[in-house]
Amino acid sequence: MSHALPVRAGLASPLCARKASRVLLPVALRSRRVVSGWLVAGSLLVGCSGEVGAPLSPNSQLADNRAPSAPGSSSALPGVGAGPSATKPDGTPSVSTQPLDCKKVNVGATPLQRLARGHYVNSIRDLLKVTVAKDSLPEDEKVGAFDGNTVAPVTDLLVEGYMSAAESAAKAALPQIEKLVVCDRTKLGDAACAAQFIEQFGQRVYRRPLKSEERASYVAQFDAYKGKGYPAALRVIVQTMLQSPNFLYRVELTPVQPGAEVTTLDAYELASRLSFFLVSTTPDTELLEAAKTGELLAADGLTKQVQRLIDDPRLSETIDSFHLQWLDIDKVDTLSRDPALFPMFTPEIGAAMRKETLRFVNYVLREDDGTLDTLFTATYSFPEGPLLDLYGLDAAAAKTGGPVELDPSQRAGLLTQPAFLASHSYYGQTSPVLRGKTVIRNVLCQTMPDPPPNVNTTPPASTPDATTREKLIEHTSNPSCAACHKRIDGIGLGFEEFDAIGRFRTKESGKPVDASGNLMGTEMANGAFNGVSELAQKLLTSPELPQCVTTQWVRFALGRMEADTDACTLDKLFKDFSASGHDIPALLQSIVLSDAFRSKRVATESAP
Amino acid sequence: MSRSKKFPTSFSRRSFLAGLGAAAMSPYLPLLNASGQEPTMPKRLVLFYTPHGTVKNQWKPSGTETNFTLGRLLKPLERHQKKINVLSGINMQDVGVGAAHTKGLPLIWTGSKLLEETTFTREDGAGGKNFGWNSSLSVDQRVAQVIGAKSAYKSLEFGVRSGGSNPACRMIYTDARKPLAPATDPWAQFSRLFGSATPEASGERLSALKVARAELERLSPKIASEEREKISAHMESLSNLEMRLTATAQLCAGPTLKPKTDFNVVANTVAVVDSQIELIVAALACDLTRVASFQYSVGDTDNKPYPWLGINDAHHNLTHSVDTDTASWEKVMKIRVWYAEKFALLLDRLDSIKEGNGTLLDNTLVVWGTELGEGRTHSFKSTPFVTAGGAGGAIATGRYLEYEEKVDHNRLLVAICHAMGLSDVKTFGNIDKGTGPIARLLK
Repeated sequence: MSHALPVRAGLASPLCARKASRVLLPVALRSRRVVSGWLVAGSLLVGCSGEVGAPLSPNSQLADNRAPSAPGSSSALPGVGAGPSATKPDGTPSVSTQPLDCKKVNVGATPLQRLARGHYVNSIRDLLKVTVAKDSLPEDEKVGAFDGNTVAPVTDLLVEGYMSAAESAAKAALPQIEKLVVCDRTKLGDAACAAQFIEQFGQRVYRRPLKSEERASYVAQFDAYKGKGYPAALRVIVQTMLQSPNFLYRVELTPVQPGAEVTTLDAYELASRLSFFLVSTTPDTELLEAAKTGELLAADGLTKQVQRLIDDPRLSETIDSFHLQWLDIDKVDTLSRDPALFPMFTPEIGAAMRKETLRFVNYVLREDDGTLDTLFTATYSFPEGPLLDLYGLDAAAAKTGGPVELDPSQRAGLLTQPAFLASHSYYGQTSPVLRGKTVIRNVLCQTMPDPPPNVNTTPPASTPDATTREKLIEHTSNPSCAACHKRIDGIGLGFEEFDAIGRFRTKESGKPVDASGNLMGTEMANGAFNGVSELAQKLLTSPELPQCVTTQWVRFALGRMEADTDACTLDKLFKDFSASGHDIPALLQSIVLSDAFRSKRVATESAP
Repeated sequence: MSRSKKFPTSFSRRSFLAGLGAAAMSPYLPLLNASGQEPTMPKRLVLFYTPHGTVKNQWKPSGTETNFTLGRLLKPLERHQKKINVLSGINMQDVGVGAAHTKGLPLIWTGSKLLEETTFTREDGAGGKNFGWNSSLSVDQRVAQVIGAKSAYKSLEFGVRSGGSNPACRMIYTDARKPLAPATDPWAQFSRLFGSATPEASGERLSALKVARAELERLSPKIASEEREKISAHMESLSNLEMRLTATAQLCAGPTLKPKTDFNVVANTVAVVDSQIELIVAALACDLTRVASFQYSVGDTDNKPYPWLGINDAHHNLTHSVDTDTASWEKVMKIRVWYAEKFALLLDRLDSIKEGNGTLLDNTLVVWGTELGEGRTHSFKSTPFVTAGGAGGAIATGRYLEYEEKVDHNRLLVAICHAMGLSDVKTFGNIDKGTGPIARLLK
């Protein structure tokens, strides 16, 4: 089948006009990185008992006909499917026997998604200009690291939760309800204005024009309730619309098309995916208009809308929520720390940590060069208020409101920020295990097997003044722990130069801090390092980190885990990402233009 | 019909019915025969959960089956000793994917393992494979299919600090991949259960529900077949809601709760727990439901502090303290004794409601479980269970039953079914290797 759009039609990188000159790997090395295979997050188990330091080797062939520059090269297929067949009973990834033809459009199935709470709350904010508390609904399921609802169905409790939230929102909107759709009632009459309201407001709630039977049910509702007054009748309509499955679910119909497996999204479905991905909320009227005219399905029309949304201030909500969830730092402002050891740790400093990291990621992506490398190596940040103390800076350092230069021998990028360091620590001490594990799992998208059954996880006795490193010695002296913990602690112990609230330290328990680590399980960056800055530099020389970032953004964009059939898309996105010098805004654009984003699978059987 | 101002502290079902019109009886009083002369009080089931196993040598009673002294961690139950059974030496089977705390929580009541799916990546610190939701229904839901079918709520789930939407935080399932999230805000739950909507508001609700249902019906055939189950679950919940909206009787005004506070704030935990317990008892006494569960915290690391006990450390971390760290273990004991106090409070309240010749507790089976045997070793052997109440005469109480690590807890789940009248159940859970109820528990 043919695409409506040429791939990456004329899209320049809009945010990165001031791109710093970057030292790129030599071409030969880069192409090796590119062909080294698509190692999909969460799919490959890195055996602990075997050679954990060995590169993860591809285990199946991928016929990539779009990469003639790499003849005979192989890529690993992701071992993840959307359903139960994803792994074999013994836990090893299942492998497709059919090689994918990347000349064709291949895409994994998208499950019927229920709005994530953040998207629900933002949609109601934009539709009605009222605030709904996120807490009024139960927490979302996860899609990998991200909020999403793709498996468990609604329950009685949730249906009643939606009912209450819809009623409160409609009630709160009552004073301005007539202004949501401007109509001259004295001139046109109530019935005509109500019809207009149903048409126009309904289209915004449903993210597509209403069908005739849907319109009819709201007209009937208006007739039933108009006796209570025009605004009251609109209120009933609004609270009903907010309980509609067409609002609560991200509906993408899967028509039966004989002979086809994949079809492009319709314009409204594409508008929804675009809007929830880039601005974390329901499509605005301009986007719906571009869907209506068909502009969105044309190359320049899509480019224009993507450009507009990337320039929209609301892109920050997407940048915020991606990074908070990806690095698992969302709860940093609710942490508690032993006041005897960390008197400076207060809820205010936790909030400042969160704010610092969000300002930092937004600055890198929207004002600096937008690269992954800068995210992991920048020696500036945005400390404010109580955080200045933690950094050992005086108030003058932050008075410009711009980025503050930090000591480059101590700090470099996201992994050295207090939000990350404190989130992955304990009440009274650091946790090399939590820090190491978060790097392995979230940052490198690798997983490890369970500890052996019946292993005694009780830590050994240790002297009270032992350093954290000394307390963990059992991890590597006991063979049943060592297999995995060499790898976890090898990374985590490199973070020991930062305490449990992210302060730089040179001593622990009166002894000099040893922040030496050993990176294992990567293709090109294994070996010793000292401190987090060196670790971050090392990670950028191997494919796992940029591959993982690509995968994480794809999961976030699609609201689902990758499937075998997404391999061509992922491979191409990673190649583009590498070629762009790890330009993240360009990656977001590439994702929007990818097969996986613009297509869907069709039904394989007829409706019952 | 008169409305009681509070839920009754004493009522006999028959006298209660005398004041009700026929419309009020349906569908809230399903077990009544046509004349309203129900021969026996209905049976109720309550599941009670607290996290991270126990400390066996502090938990185990000493003495014989009928003459025993409770261990330190169960001391608060002494006043109920005649109405409880302490079940020691029952193993849960350690099988399937997921780390111990993660798979242990859904395992307790389902007797089944997690699905080997990619829905979740590890969140709990053990590394390892992906995993899915649990693969089968929990015992309370099996029981609810029979005894809860016609009550206003087939079952009610209550939680405190009960975490996010993943298997390490969800213990109740109506089917594979169908967890029931517990209600965490008791004050919102009070309005839901005991607040009465005006006829006007009910009308609006029914109107919205009708529109939603028609749309779901139109949607179902147009989406992928494997997704249609989500639509049918949604329709079922709408039907349940419709049934509650059209029932005219609201028999109880509900309990008096502690003053409303933010249920998410750690410092308010005790008020939240106490309020949830009041709601459970009221919902059973008023016959809004016959099946309830209470989930305190989560399998996946209970790491919030316990400031009301003077403990600011993370509970889960404390359970991994070294043997010589007596100060930390003392904190663990304090937390576990507090759990027993709250279990005792639930029994106090159930036992204070007179029903027929006994109390609500006598007609109820309460089962207290946890997701593993001992938190410190993550062992599933000797997972502690306590039952309370007579299940309407099905269970003899006041006993210490020692099973010496020779029986799987699937036998207990079968016994729960039998006690609640589902005597044809032979096995429970998809990892069950045996048959029949656990020995000695049932009369």
